Amino acid sequence: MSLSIHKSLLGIVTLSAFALAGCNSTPSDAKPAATEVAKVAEKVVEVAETAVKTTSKTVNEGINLSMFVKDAFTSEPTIVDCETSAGTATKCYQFVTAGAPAGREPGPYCPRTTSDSAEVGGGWFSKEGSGDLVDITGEFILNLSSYYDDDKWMLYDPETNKIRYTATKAACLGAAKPDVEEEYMQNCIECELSYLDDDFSRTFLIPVTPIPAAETGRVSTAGIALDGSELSGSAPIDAILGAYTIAAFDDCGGHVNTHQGYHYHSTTGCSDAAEKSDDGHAVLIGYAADGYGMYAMKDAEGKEAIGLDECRGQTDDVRGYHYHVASPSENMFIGCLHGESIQSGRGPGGPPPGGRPDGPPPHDAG
Amino acid sequence: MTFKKVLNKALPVLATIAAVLTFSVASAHTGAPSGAALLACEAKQKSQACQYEGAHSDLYIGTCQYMPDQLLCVRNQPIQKKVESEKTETEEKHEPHKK
Repeated sequence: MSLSIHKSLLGIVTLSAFALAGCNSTPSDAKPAATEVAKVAEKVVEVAETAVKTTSKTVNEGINLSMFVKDAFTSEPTIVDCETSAGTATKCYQFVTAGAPAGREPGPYCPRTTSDSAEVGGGWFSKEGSGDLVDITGEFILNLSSYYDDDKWMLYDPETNKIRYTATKAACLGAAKPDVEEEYMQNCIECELSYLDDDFSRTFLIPVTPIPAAETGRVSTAGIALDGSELSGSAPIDAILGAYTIAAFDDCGGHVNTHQGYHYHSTTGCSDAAEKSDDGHAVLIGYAADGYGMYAMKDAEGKEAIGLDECRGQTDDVRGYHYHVASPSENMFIGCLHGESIQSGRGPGGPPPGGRPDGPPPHDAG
Repeated sequence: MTFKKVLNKALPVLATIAAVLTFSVASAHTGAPSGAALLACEAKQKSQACQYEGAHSDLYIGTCQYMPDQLLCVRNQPIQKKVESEKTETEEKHEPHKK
Protein backbone atom coordinates (compact mmCIF):
# COMPACT_ATOMS: atom_id res chain seq x y z
CA MET A 1 0.00 0.00 0.00
CA SER A 2 1.46 3.35 -0.94
CA LEU A 3 2.27 6.20 1.39
CA SER A 4 -0.35 8.45 -0.22
CA ILE A 5 -3.09 5.87 0.38
CA HIS A 6 -2.04 5.63 4.00
CA LYS A 7 -2.19 9.38 4.38
CA SER A 8 -5.67 9.44 2.87
CA LEU A 9 -6.78 6.73 5.27
CA LEU A 10 -5.29 8.69 8.15
CA GLY A 11 -7.45 11.66 7.19
CA ILE A 12 -10.58 9.51 6.99
CA VAL A 13 -9.87 7.92 10.39
CA THR A 14 -9.37 11.33 11.98
CA LEU A 15 -12.56 12.74 10.51
CA SER A 16 -14.48 9.64 11.57
CA ALA A 17 -13.19 9.95 15.12
CA PHE A 18 -14.46 13.50 15.30
CA ALA A 19 -17.79 12.60 13.78
CA LEU A 20 -18.38 9.52 15.90
CA ALA A 21 -17.30 11.20 19.11
CA GLY A 22 -19.78 13.93 18.35
CA CYS A 23 -22.70 11.48 18.43
CA ASN A 24 -24.85 11.33 21.60
CA SER A 25 -23.52 14.60 22.93
CA THR A 26 -26.08 16.96 24.37
CA PRO A 27 -25.76 20.72 24.91
CA SER A 28 -25.19 20.18 28.64
CA ASP A 29 -22.19 17.91 28.22
CA ALA A 30 -20.89 19.53 25.07
CA LYS A 31 -17.65 20.84 26.63
CA PRO A 32 -16.43 17.58 28.25
CA ALA A 33 -17.42 15.71 25.11
CA ALA A 34 -15.38 18.07 22.97
CA THR A 35 -12.36 17.46 25.20
CA GLU A 36 -12.87 13.71 24.92
CA VAL A 37 -13.18 14.04 21.16
CA ALA A 38 -9.89 15.92 20.98
CA LYS A 39 -8.15 13.27 23.09
CA VAL A 40 -9.53 10.40 21.04
CA ALA A 41 -8.64 12.13 17.79
CA GLU A 42 -5.15 12.85 19.08
CA LYS A 43 -4.68 9.21 19.99
CA VAL A 44 -6.01 8.02 16.64
CA VAL A 45 -3.69 10.37 14.77
CA GLU A 46 -0.74 9.22 16.86
CA VAL A 47 -1.44 5.53 16.22
CA ALA A 48 -2.12 6.09 12.54
CA GLU A 49 1.03 8.16 12.07
CA THR A 50 3.09 5.41 13.66
CA ALA A 51 1.45 2.93 11.31
CA VAL A 52 2.24 5.13 8.31
CA LYS A 53 5.87 5.49 9.38
CA THR A 54 6.23 1.77 9.92
CA THR A 55 4.56 0.90 6.65
CA SER A 56 6.42 3.48 4.58
CA LYS A 57 9.72 2.15 5.92
CA THR A 58 8.77 -1.33 4.78
CA VAL A 59 7.60 -0.05 1.40
CA ASN A 60 10.82 1.78 0.64
CA GLU A 61 13.19 -0.88 1.89
CA GLY A 62 13.86 -3.41 -0.84
CA ILE A 63 13.47 -3.36 -4.58
CA ASN A 64 11.20 -0.91 -6.38
CA LEU A 65 10.84 -2.31 -9.89
CA SER A 66 9.80 1.05 -11.29
CA MET A 67 13.29 2.40 -10.63
CA PHE A 68 14.88 0.19 -13.29
CA VAL A 69 15.57 1.62 -16.72
CA LYS A 70 13.29 0.63 -19.59
CA ASP A 71 14.55 -2.56 -21.28
CA ALA A 72 16.87 -3.39 -18.37
CA PHE A 73 15.51 -6.94 -18.57
CA THR A 74 14.82 -9.24 -21.48
CA SER A 75 11.61 -10.48 -19.85
CA GLU A 76 9.32 -9.20 -17.13
CA PRO A 77 10.79 -9.83 -13.67
CA THR A 78 9.06 -12.71 -11.93
CA ILE A 79 8.84 -13.80 -8.30
CA VAL A 80 10.11 -17.30 -7.62
CA ASP A 81 10.77 -19.48 -4.60
CA CYS A 82 14.40 -19.32 -3.54
CA GLU A 83 16.68 -20.17 -0.65
CA THR A 84 19.37 -17.91 0.73
CA SER A 85 22.89 -19.12 1.35
CA ALA A 86 21.95 -19.11 5.04
CA GLY A 87 19.22 -21.62 4.28
CA THR A 88 16.21 -19.30 4.57
CA ALA A 89 13.37 -20.17 2.21
CA THR A 90 11.95 -16.98 0.76
CA LYS A 91 10.66 -15.30 -2.40
CA CYS A 92 13.06 -13.76 -4.89
CA TYR A 93 12.80 -11.51 -7.87
CA GLN A 94 14.20 -13.26 -10.89
CA PHE A 95 15.77 -10.79 -13.29
CA VAL A 96 16.96 -11.93 -16.70
CA THR A 97 19.21 -9.60 -18.65
CA ALA A 98 21.08 -9.64 -21.94
CA GLY A 99 24.35 -8.69 -20.27
CA ALA A 100 24.30 -5.19 -21.73
CA PRO A 101 23.47 -1.84 -20.16
CA ALA A 102 19.99 -0.69 -21.19
CA GLY A 103 19.79 2.59 -23.02
CA ARG A 104 23.38 3.06 -24.12
CA GLU A 105 26.24 1.54 -26.10
CA PRO A 106 29.17 0.77 -23.82
CA GLY A 107 32.72 1.94 -24.62
CA PRO A 108 35.10 3.27 -25.74
CA TYR A 109 37.84 1.56 -23.75
CA CYS A 110 41.38 1.58 -25.17
CA PRO A 111 42.87 4.47 -27.13
CA ARG A 112 44.44 3.51 -30.45
CA THR A 113 47.54 5.69 -30.56
CA THR A 114 49.74 7.37 -27.98
CA SER A 115 48.46 10.77 -29.10
CA ASP A 116 44.77 9.95 -28.55
CA SER A 117 42.84 12.15 -26.15
CA ALA A 118 40.50 11.20 -23.32
CA GLU A 119 37.52 11.10 -25.68
CA VAL A 120 38.96 8.07 -27.47
CA GLY A 121 39.66 6.01 -24.35
CA GLY A 122 37.88 5.10 -21.14
CA GLY A 123 39.06 4.97 -17.55
CA TRP A 124 41.06 2.89 -15.10
CA PHE A 125 41.63 2.70 -11.36
CA SER A 126 44.06 5.25 -10.01
CA LYS A 127 47.19 3.60 -8.65
CA GLU A 128 46.39 4.89 -5.18
CA GLY A 129 43.14 2.93 -5.24
CA SER A 130 41.13 5.95 -4.30
CA GLY A 131 39.19 8.83 -5.76
CA ASP A 132 38.06 9.11 -9.37
CA LEU A 133 39.12 6.89 -12.27
CA VAL A 134 42.01 8.15 -14.36
CA ASP A 135 41.52 8.79 -18.07
CA ILE A 136 43.12 6.21 -20.36
CA THR A 137 44.63 8.62 -22.84
CA GLY A 138 47.44 7.88 -25.27
CA GLU A 139 49.71 9.72 -22.89
CA PHE A 140 48.60 7.54 -19.98
CA ILE A 141 49.55 4.42 -21.96
CA LEU A 142 52.84 6.07 -22.94
CA ASN A 143 53.69 6.79 -19.31
CA LEU A 144 52.66 3.52 -17.71
CA SER A 145 56.26 2.70 -16.81
CA SER A 146 56.61 5.80 -14.71
CA TYR A 147 53.03 5.60 -13.41
CA TYR A 148 53.60 2.12 -12.00
CA ASP A 149 57.33 2.63 -11.49
CA ASP A 150 58.12 -0.45 -13.58
CA ASP A 151 60.16 -0.25 -16.79
CA LYS A 152 58.61 -3.37 -18.26
CA TRP A 153 55.35 -1.69 -19.21
CA MET A 154 55.11 -1.33 -23.00
CA LEU A 155 51.57 -1.33 -24.33
CA TYR A 156 52.47 0.44 -27.55
CA ASP A 157 54.71 0.02 -30.55
CA PRO A 158 57.43 2.69 -30.19
CA GLU A 159 57.93 2.81 -33.96
CA THR A 160 54.32 3.38 -34.94
CA ASN A 161 52.98 4.72 -31.63
CA LYS A 162 50.04 2.38 -32.05
CA ILE A 163 48.62 0.96 -28.86
CA ARG A 164 48.37 -2.80 -28.52
CA TYR A 165 44.82 -3.81 -27.65
CA THR A 166 42.73 -6.96 -27.87
CA ALA A 167 41.16 -6.37 -31.26
CA THR A 168 39.53 -9.77 -31.80
CA LYS A 169 37.29 -12.16 -29.91
CA ALA A 170 40.18 -14.63 -29.60
CA ALA A 171 42.33 -11.94 -28.05
CA CYS A 172 39.53 -10.95 -25.69
CA LEU A 173 39.08 -14.56 -24.58
CA GLY A 174 42.81 -15.00 -24.08
CA ALA A 175 43.24 -11.80 -22.14
CA ALA A 176 40.05 -11.15 -20.16
CA LYS A 177 40.76 -13.70 -17.46
CA PRO A 178 43.01 -13.79 -14.39
CA ASP A 179 45.55 -16.11 -16.02
CA VAL A 180 46.21 -13.92 -19.05
CA GLU A 181 47.70 -15.92 -21.91
CA GLU A 182 51.29 -14.94 -22.56
CA GLU A 183 50.69 -13.67 -26.08
CA TYR A 184 48.16 -11.17 -24.74
CA MET A 185 50.36 -9.69 -22.04
CA GLN A 186 51.34 -6.07 -22.66
CA ASN A 187 47.89 -5.28 -24.04
CA CYS A 188 45.11 -2.88 -23.28
CA ILE A 189 42.16 -5.26 -22.90
CA GLU A 190 38.77 -4.57 -24.38
CA CYS A 191 35.94 -6.88 -25.38
CA GLU A 192 32.87 -6.12 -27.42
CA LEU A 193 29.29 -7.10 -26.69
CA SER A 194 29.24 -8.81 -30.09
CA TYR A 195 31.62 -11.43 -28.67
CA LEU A 196 28.88 -12.74 -26.38
CA ASP A 197 27.10 -15.92 -27.42
CA ASP A 198 23.85 -15.38 -29.31
CA ASP A 199 21.84 -16.88 -26.46
CA PHE A 200 23.84 -15.11 -23.74
CA SER A 201 21.79 -14.07 -20.73
CA ARG A 202 22.29 -13.34 -17.06
CA THR A 203 19.86 -14.33 -14.33
CA PHE A 204 19.81 -12.57 -10.98
CA LEU A 205 17.90 -13.84 -7.96
CA ILE A 206 17.42 -11.23 -5.25
CA PRO A 207 15.16 -11.52 -2.17
CA VAL A 208 11.92 -9.59 -2.58
CA THR A 209 12.01 -8.68 1.10
CA PRO A 210 15.53 -8.16 2.45
CA ILE A 211 16.38 -10.47 5.34
CA PRO A 212 18.92 -9.06 7.84
CA ALA A 213 21.65 -11.67 8.21
CA ALA A 214 22.89 -13.02 11.52
CA GLU A 215 26.41 -12.28 10.24
CA THR A 216 27.42 -9.99 7.43
CA GLY A 217 28.24 -11.76 4.17
CA ARG A 218 31.17 -11.48 1.79
CA VAL A 219 30.63 -9.62 -1.46
CA SER A 220 31.38 -11.62 -4.59
CA THR A 221 28.85 -9.84 -6.76
CA ALA A 222 27.61 -6.62 -5.24
CA GLY A 223 24.27 -6.41 -7.03
CA ILE A 224 22.46 -5.15 -10.09
CA ALA A 225 22.50 -1.62 -11.53
CA LEU A 226 19.33 0.16 -12.60
CA ASP A 227 20.26 -0.45 -16.24
CA GLY A 228 20.34 -4.24 -15.64
CA SER A 229 24.13 -4.57 -15.61
CA GLU A 230 25.95 -6.42 -12.87
CA LEU A 231 27.55 -4.39 -10.10
CA SER A 232 30.56 -6.64 -9.86
CA GLY A 233 32.80 -7.60 -6.98
CA SER A 234 36.38 -6.36 -6.77
CA ALA A 235 38.49 -6.72 -9.91
CA PRO A 236 41.59 -8.97 -9.60
CA ILE A 237 43.97 -6.07 -9.94
CA ASP A 238 47.12 -7.99 -9.06
CA ALA A 239 46.53 -10.50 -11.85
CA ILE A 240 45.69 -7.78 -14.36
CA LEU A 241 48.67 -5.57 -13.66
CA GLY A 242 50.92 -8.58 -13.08
CA ALA A 243 50.36 -9.53 -16.73
CA TYR A 244 51.10 -5.97 -17.83
CA THR A 245 47.57 -5.43 -18.98
CA ILE A 246 44.97 -2.77 -18.36
CA ALA A 247 41.40 -4.12 -18.29
CA ALA A 248 40.06 -0.80 -19.53
CA PHE A 249 36.68 0.49 -18.39
CA ASP A 250 34.51 2.82 -20.37
CA ASP A 251 33.80 6.21 -18.85
CA CYS A 252 30.93 4.64 -16.92
CA GLY A 253 33.30 2.33 -14.99
CA GLY A 254 32.32 -0.93 -16.70
CA HIS A 255 33.61 -3.37 -19.27
CA VAL A 256 32.70 -6.63 -20.99
CA ASN A 257 33.85 -10.20 -20.60
CA THR A 258 32.23 -13.22 -22.19
CA HIS A 259 31.07 -14.68 -18.86
CA GLN A 260 29.48 -11.69 -17.22
CA GLY A 261 28.67 -9.54 -20.21
CA TYR A 262 28.91 -5.84 -19.47
CA HIS A 263 29.49 -5.24 -15.76
CA TYR A 264 30.51 -2.35 -13.56
CA HIS A 265 33.53 -2.16 -11.27
CA SER A 266 32.88 1.42 -10.29
CA THR A 267 30.14 3.94 -10.63
CA THR A 268 30.65 7.31 -12.26
CA GLY A 269 27.03 8.39 -12.56
CA CYS A 270 25.85 6.41 -15.61
CA SER A 271 23.55 4.18 -13.59
CA ASP A 272 22.16 6.95 -11.39
CA ALA A 273 18.38 7.03 -11.05
CA ALA A 274 16.81 9.83 -13.08
CA GLU A 275 14.57 10.63 -10.13
CA LYS A 276 16.27 12.73 -7.46
CA SER A 277 15.29 12.43 -3.84
CA ASP A 278 13.20 15.22 -2.27
CA ASP A 279 15.39 15.25 0.82
CA GLY A 280 18.68 15.74 -1.03
CA HIS A 281 19.77 12.16 -0.35
CA ALA A 282 22.22 10.53 -2.76
CA VAL A 283 20.58 8.97 -5.82
CA LEU A 284 19.81 5.29 -6.19
CA ILE A 285 22.18 3.42 -8.52
CA GLY A 286 20.95 -0.16 -8.11
CA TYR A 287 20.17 -2.92 -5.66
CA ALA A 288 22.55 -5.12 -3.71
CA ALA A 289 22.50 -8.91 -3.87
CA ASP A 290 20.58 -8.95 -0.58
CA GLY A 291 17.85 -6.66 -1.92
CA TYR A 292 18.80 -3.47 -0.12
CA GLY A 293 19.15 -0.26 -2.14
CA MET A 294 22.56 0.97 -3.26
CA TYR A 295 22.98 4.74 -3.42
CA ALA A 296 25.67 7.00 -4.80
CA MET A 297 28.55 8.01 -2.56
CA LYS A 298 27.60 11.68 -2.32
CA ASP A 299 24.34 13.50 -1.68
CA ALA A 300 22.93 16.43 -3.64
CA GLU A 301 25.33 18.79 -1.85
CA GLY A 302 28.34 16.63 -2.69
CA LYS A 303 28.71 15.36 0.85
CA GLU A 304 29.41 11.79 1.87
CA ALA A 305 27.12 9.96 4.27
CA ILE A 306 28.33 9.75 7.84
CA GLY A 307 27.72 6.94 10.30
CA LEU A 308 28.06 4.11 7.78
CA ASP A 309 28.46 0.62 9.19
CA GLU A 310 31.24 -1.73 8.10
CA CYS A 311 29.27 -2.76 5.01
CA ARG A 312 28.94 0.93 4.03
CA GLY A 313 25.28 0.87 5.01
CA GLN A 314 22.96 2.83 7.24
CA THR A 315 19.28 3.13 8.09
CA ASP A 316 16.95 6.08 7.73
CA ASP A 317 13.19 6.55 7.97
CA VAL A 318 12.67 6.94 4.23
CA ARG A 319 14.82 4.20 2.72
CA GLY A 320 15.23 1.80 5.63
CA TYR A 321 18.58 0.02 5.50
CA HIS A 322 20.60 0.97 2.41
CA TYR A 323 24.18 1.23 1.17
CA HIS A 324 26.36 4.05 -0.14
CA VAL A 325 28.95 2.99 -2.72
CA ALA A 326 32.65 3.78 -2.44
CA SER A 327 34.59 6.11 -4.75
CA PRO A 328 35.28 4.92 -8.34
CA SER A 329 38.90 3.86 -7.80
CA GLU A 330 38.37 1.99 -4.54
CA ASN A 331 37.67 -1.23 -6.49
CA MET A 332 34.51 -2.00 -4.53
CA PHE A 333 30.96 -0.82 -4.21
CA ILE A 334 30.15 -1.95 -0.69
CA GLY A 335 32.10 -3.63 2.10
CA CYS A 336 29.88 -6.58 2.95
CA LEU A 337 26.29 -7.77 2.73
CA HIS A 338 24.01 -6.79 5.60
CA GLY A 339 21.33 -9.20 4.47
CA GLU A 340 21.05 -12.76 3.28
CA SER A 341 21.65 -13.35 -0.40
CA ILE A 342 21.41 -16.10 -2.97
CA GLN A 343 25.10 -16.54 -3.57
CA SER A 344 26.14 -19.33 -5.85
CA GLY A 345 29.49 -18.34 -7.22
CA ARG A 346 27.76 -15.97 -9.60
CA GLY A 347 26.59 -13.60 -6.97
CA PRO A 348 22.91 -12.89 -7.11
CA GLY A 349 22.68 -14.88 -10.28
CA GLY A 350 21.93 -18.11 -8.52
CA PRO A 351 20.50 -20.88 -10.61
CA PRO A 352 16.85 -20.29 -11.34
CA PRO A 353 14.36 -23.11 -11.08
CA GLY A 354 15.10 -25.44 -13.94
CA GLY A 355 18.82 -24.89 -14.09
CA ARG A 356 21.51 -22.37 -14.79
CA PRO A 357 21.21 -20.66 -18.13
CA ASP A 358 24.38 -18.72 -18.18
CA GLY A 359 27.29 -21.08 -18.31
CA PRO A 360 30.33 -21.64 -16.16
CA PRO A 361 31.52 -19.47 -13.30
CA PRO A 362 33.07 -16.18 -14.32
CA HIS A 363 36.74 -15.66 -14.91
CA ASP A 364 36.67 -11.97 -14.73
CA ALA A 365 39.75 -10.09 -15.67
CA GLY A 366 38.36 -7.09 -14.02
CA MET B 1 74.91 -36.69 -24.78
CA THR B 2 72.56 -38.55 -22.46
CA PHE B 3 69.19 -37.21 -21.36
CA LYS B 4 70.54 -36.84 -17.83
CA LYS B 5 73.39 -34.59 -19.00
CA VAL B 6 71.01 -32.42 -21.05
CA LEU B 7 68.75 -32.11 -18.04
CA ASN B 8 71.65 -31.14 -15.79
CA LYS B 9 72.62 -28.34 -18.16
CA ALA B 10 69.12 -27.13 -18.90
CA LEU B 11 67.83 -27.18 -15.35
CA PRO B 12 69.85 -24.23 -14.00
CA VAL B 13 68.91 -22.17 -17.08
CA LEU B 14 65.23 -23.01 -16.67
CA ALA B 15 65.40 -22.24 -12.96
CA THR B 16 66.95 -18.85 -13.67
CA ILE B 17 64.28 -18.02 -16.26
CA ALA B 18 61.55 -19.09 -13.85
CA ALA B 19 63.04 -16.97 -11.08
CA VAL B 20 63.29 -13.93 -13.35
CA LEU B 21 59.72 -14.38 -14.57
CA THR B 22 58.44 -14.81 -11.02
CA PHE B 23 60.25 -11.69 -9.89
CA SER B 24 58.96 -9.75 -12.88
CA VAL B 25 55.36 -10.65 -12.19
CA ALA B 26 55.71 -10.13 -8.46
CA SER B 27 57.33 -6.74 -8.85
CA ALA B 28 54.48 -5.61 -11.09
CA HIS B 29 52.16 -6.12 -8.14
CA THR B 30 53.57 -3.16 -6.30
CA GLY B 31 51.49 -0.09 -6.81
CA ALA B 32 48.30 -2.07 -7.38
CA PRO B 33 45.23 0.09 -6.80
CA SER B 34 44.07 -1.85 -3.79
CA GLY B 35 47.60 -2.36 -2.47
CA ALA B 36 47.31 0.17 0.32
CA ALA B 37 43.90 -1.14 1.33
CA LEU B 38 45.32 -4.67 1.41
CA LEU B 39 48.40 -3.69 3.40
CA ALA B 40 46.21 -1.90 5.93
CA CYS B 41 44.63 -5.23 6.85
CA GLU B 42 47.77 -7.33 7.00
CA ALA B 43 47.83 -9.32 10.24
CA LYS B 44 44.35 -8.10 11.09
CA GLN B 45 41.04 -9.85 11.40
CA LYS B 46 37.62 -9.17 9.93
CA SER B 47 35.94 -6.07 11.35
CA GLN B 48 39.12 -4.71 12.92
CA ALA B 49 39.69 -0.99 12.42
CA CYS B 50 42.08 0.02 9.64
CA GLN B 51 43.25 3.08 7.74
CA TYR B 52 45.49 3.96 4.82
CA GLU B 53 46.59 6.93 2.76
CA GLY B 54 45.00 7.36 -0.65
CA ALA B 55 45.57 9.96 -3.35
CA HIS B 56 47.05 13.27 -2.14
CA SER B 57 47.73 11.56 1.20
CA ASP B 58 44.03 11.69 1.99
CA LEU B 59 43.13 9.40 4.86
CA TYR B 60 40.84 6.41 4.33
CA ILE B 61 39.41 5.00 7.56
CA GLY B 62 37.31 1.85 7.88
CA THR B 63 37.32 -1.79 8.88
CA CYS B 64 38.82 -4.94 7.38
CA GLN B 65 36.41 -6.99 5.27
CA TYR B 66 36.77 -10.01 2.99
CA MET B 67 36.57 -8.95 -0.68
CA PRO B 68 35.82 -11.79 -1.27
CA ASP B 69 38.79 -13.84 -0.08
CA GLN B 70 41.35 -11.21 0.88
CA LEU B 71 40.98 -8.85 3.79
CA LEU B 72 40.75 -5.32 2.47
CA CYS B 73 40.33 -2.06 4.32
CA VAL B 74 36.78 -0.93 3.52
CA ARG B 75 36.35 2.76 4.15
CA ASN B 76 33.20 3.64 6.05
CA GLN B 77 34.03 7.21 6.95
CA PRO B 78 34.13 10.17 4.56
CA ILE B 79 37.54 10.65 2.95
CA GLN B 80 39.64 12.77 5.31
CA LYS B 81 41.06 15.40 2.97
CA LYS B 82 44.62 16.52 3.40
CA VAL B 83 44.83 20.27 3.77
CA GLU B 84 44.85 21.67 0.21
CA SER B 85 47.90 23.83 0.80
CA GLU B 86 49.97 20.75 1.61
CA LYS B 87 49.55 19.48 -1.94
CA THR B 88 52.90 19.71 -3.63
CA GLU B 89 53.71 20.90 -7.11
CA THR B 90 55.24 17.50 -7.89
CA GLU B 91 51.96 15.76 -7.16
CA GLU B 92 50.15 18.02 -9.62
CA LYS B 93 52.79 17.56 -12.31
CA HIS B 94 52.90 13.75 -12.52
CA GLU B 95 49.28 13.02 -11.98
CA PRO B 96 47.22 11.60 -14.86
CA HIS B 97 44.00 13.39 -15.54
CA LYS B 98 41.12 12.16 -13.43
CA LYS B 99 37.56 12.04 -14.59
